[in-house]
Amino acid sequence: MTRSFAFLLVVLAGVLAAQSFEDEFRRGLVALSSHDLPQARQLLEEASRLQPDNALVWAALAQTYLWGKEAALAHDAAGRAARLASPESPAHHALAMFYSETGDIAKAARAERLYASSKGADPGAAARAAGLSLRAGDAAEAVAWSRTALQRSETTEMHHLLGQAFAAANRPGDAERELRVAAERDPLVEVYVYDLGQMQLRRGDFASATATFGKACQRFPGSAQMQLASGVAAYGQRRFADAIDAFLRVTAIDSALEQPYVFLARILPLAGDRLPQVVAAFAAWEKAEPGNYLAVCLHAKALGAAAGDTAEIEAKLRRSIQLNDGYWEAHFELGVLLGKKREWGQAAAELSRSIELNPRVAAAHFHLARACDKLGDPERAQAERAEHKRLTAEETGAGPELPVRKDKPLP
Amino acid sequence: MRGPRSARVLAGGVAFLAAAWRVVYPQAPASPIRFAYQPIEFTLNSCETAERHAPETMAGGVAVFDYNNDGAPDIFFTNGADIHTLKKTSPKYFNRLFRNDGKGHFQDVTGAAGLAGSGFDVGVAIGDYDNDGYEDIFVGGVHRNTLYHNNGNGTFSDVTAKAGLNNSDREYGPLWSVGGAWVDVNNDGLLDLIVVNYLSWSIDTEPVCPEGNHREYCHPKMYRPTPNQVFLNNGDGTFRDISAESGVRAHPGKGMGIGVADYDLDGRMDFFVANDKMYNSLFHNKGEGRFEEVAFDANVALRENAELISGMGVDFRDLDNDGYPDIVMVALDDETFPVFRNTGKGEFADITGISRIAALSVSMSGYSPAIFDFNNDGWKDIFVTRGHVQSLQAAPRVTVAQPNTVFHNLGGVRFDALTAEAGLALQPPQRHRGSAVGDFNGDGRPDVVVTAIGARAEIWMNQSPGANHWLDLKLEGTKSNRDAIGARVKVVTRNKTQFNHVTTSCGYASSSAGPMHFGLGADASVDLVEIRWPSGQVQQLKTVMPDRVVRVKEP
Repeated sequence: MTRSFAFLLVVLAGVLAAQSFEDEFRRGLVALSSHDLPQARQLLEEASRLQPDNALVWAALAQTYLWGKEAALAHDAAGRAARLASPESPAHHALAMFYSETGDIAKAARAERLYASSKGADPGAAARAAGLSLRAGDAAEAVAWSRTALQRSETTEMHHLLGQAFAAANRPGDAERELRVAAERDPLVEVYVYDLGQMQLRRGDFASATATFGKACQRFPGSAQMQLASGVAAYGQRRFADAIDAFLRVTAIDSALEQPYVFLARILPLAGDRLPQVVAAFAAWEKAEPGNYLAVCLHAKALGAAAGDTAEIEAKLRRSIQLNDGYWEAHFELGVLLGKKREWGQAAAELSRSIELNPRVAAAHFHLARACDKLGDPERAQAERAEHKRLTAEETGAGPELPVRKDKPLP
Repeated sequence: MRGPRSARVLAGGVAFLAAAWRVVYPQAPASPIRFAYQPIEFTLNSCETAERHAPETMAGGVAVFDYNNDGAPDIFFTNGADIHTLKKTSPKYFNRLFRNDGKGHFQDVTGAAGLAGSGFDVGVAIGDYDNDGYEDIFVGGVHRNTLYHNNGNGTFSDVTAKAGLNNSDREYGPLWSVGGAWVDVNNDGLLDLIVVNYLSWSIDTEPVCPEGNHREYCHPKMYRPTPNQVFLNNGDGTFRDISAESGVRAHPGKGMGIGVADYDLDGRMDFFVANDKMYNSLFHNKGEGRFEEVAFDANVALRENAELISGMGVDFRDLDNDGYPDIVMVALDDETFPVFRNTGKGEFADITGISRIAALSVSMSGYSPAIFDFNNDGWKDIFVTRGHVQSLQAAPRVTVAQPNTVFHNLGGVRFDALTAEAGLALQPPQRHRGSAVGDFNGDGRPDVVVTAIGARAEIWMNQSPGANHWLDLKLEGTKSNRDAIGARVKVVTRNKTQFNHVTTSCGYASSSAGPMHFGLGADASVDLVEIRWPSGQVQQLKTVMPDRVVRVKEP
């Protein structure tokens, strides 16, 4: 963005005639492009006194103040530029870059759209307007400007951009169509293929996603994110063994990535014959990152699924808690383990802490209810059971709530 | 060049190549459990309509029992009725009794037996409630139950009214039974009846559950739970409803399966009820007809993940031969088939994951599990009928029709799933429902009969390979109930000690009332058979020869 702004400044400087205002402004732009901020400020402020209604001057000053870390002045100058700029003014493009740099993407998008609508807009303006609109979360504008950009320049990149816009606008069928064009035209661009596969996952078309990611994994064998996505697609098709294999491959590609371990931990009961390899992967992760509370906790969980040594599992869970007392799952797993050992008091304490950290885990309430029952606290047990039922009614639709038909009584 | 020597060289080369081929590509081992399909002329008609009334998808109980005491197990199928009237308006809805000729061939004798029935029937429980030596039949149905007394001459009489088993509930109205279990709850030598009731249903107030462009069967949350019932046998052909005083009525549910066993070995039979999208129930027998509900305490209310599942059928037997009966239940896809191992301390442990059944069953929908040793290796396996509860229109979003599967016990509590390997995929997938087990051809290998919604029933003749030995025990109580339900049996051979108990309740809505079956593996004799009768007597038989049915009478 900085390079673009500098280019703009140079271009502007070049077309200005060597008159008094223009001279100040031109020299100010040159100073700004060379990052001579004191000089740029002096010259551009003088230019603004000579032509206080010139939006370009204020846009340039805004950038000067921003780079000089004078945020208030920068925003004030940008505001003036926006008010003064005519619909055809290139100042809108300058403001788009300014606001991009300040992180105000919504304003940047609006400014770039204004610029892209002007007669003098450069050929890439529509695409930039679409991109900024997408980043700003304005899906409708992103779609409109992507279409315009595609009409002006029918490229793979534009199809991909339009696909992303459709995705943001929650039009998955249209999104997949455009993303497929991009991916088929340019299958060696990883992001095109990845985005197509993600859209297929989002649509629940796991078979297509599997095909997409299957080819992609062959083309990009070192891509952890492709392997991870292919694992998710396999899971969607209930091919749990394949999903686990994919997640294990991710750990081999990049052992520092947490996501595959998180996924594996969620599907431990489905690991079947692969459980020993899964446990080994967790062990390697913990060995590589002994200070990582998540690695320690999930390794313990994997050992539990494999009916490992209870003392070892307990020690790991306690270590995880020591490393990070704020992780609910470690407390939950420890609470369940202590329940199995019939150490109900400690189990209740750990489960209570787990609930304190994350009250929406239905299973924690269920296990705490049992612990309270064993401790002779029936009221607390009843309350926790009720909470478990309430939470599972939301998740599964189970529960005693019945609809009442107005015309006929319930049996 | 031709000639004897070159021919030998050629033959030798071929043999060498064949041997090498076998080394490089070893032949797949034969499945340890195999079945062969045998047809039987019965179709389960549940009157499926576009309106999708709940009973339409829940029919299908079946029983295996020897109704005429000729030593060959016969088959009784329950059947549906017109869903709007709940009456069997056509022979297509008749219940059916098939007599076994001893070789596994069946003949329809329904008419002669008088068992066609009249209502929308779902479940069946076999038991000799009057101890006259002939098995009687309880049929549970939608708003009507029926008790048939076996007259001993090939006919049955409807004695429901006299028995007092069909009164409408004062609070819940007419109930929908999915079957029950015969068990002597107070050890007085008479079989009592536990009736499992599903949910409160009426065609007039049934909710409508649209799914896209059609209706589907509604989620059980749309209906109220109902209580199970306990009927105490008065010994004179009548029963007394002790549901309330027993403590059972206080715990309504949506019962789909019942398993009966003495889980804490205190000499009193307990029972477990799998509920549909509710906590399961475990009723601990305190004696004198009193029960306390302890599922939560015993850790069988839910699986360890605390998820509410669509509980279906149940079986309750010792899977790991530690002397304590374990629980297997089945449910729908994504819910797995829970396995609860009895720890021997009044509690159970969820071993669904470690047993491998979680991974194997997660994409399956099951209805009826039956725990039997199908390959006679001394470890009990689990035959599961499969099919989803939804209608065929739910496909392909849901895998509605499925093949059956047998989970082969690898020793202890680890299983492998055999479907195609066991020959069970040779028939088209169906919406299978109930199942019952019996040795139809007397070859020592338990066979299975299975029902399916809107399809012909299937007999699966067990053709598992190998020459493992076996022993069947036909127990006859004298002080205990004549069926010996509740008797606990230990069989000791050189390499193994096994346990089982007598119950005719197993699976979904079904009943298996054959002799107690033990597979002995390679052991060619049985060192000890120890029987703990419900009366408390302990009887021992030593050095029993295998590969036969042994009749044992309580001393």
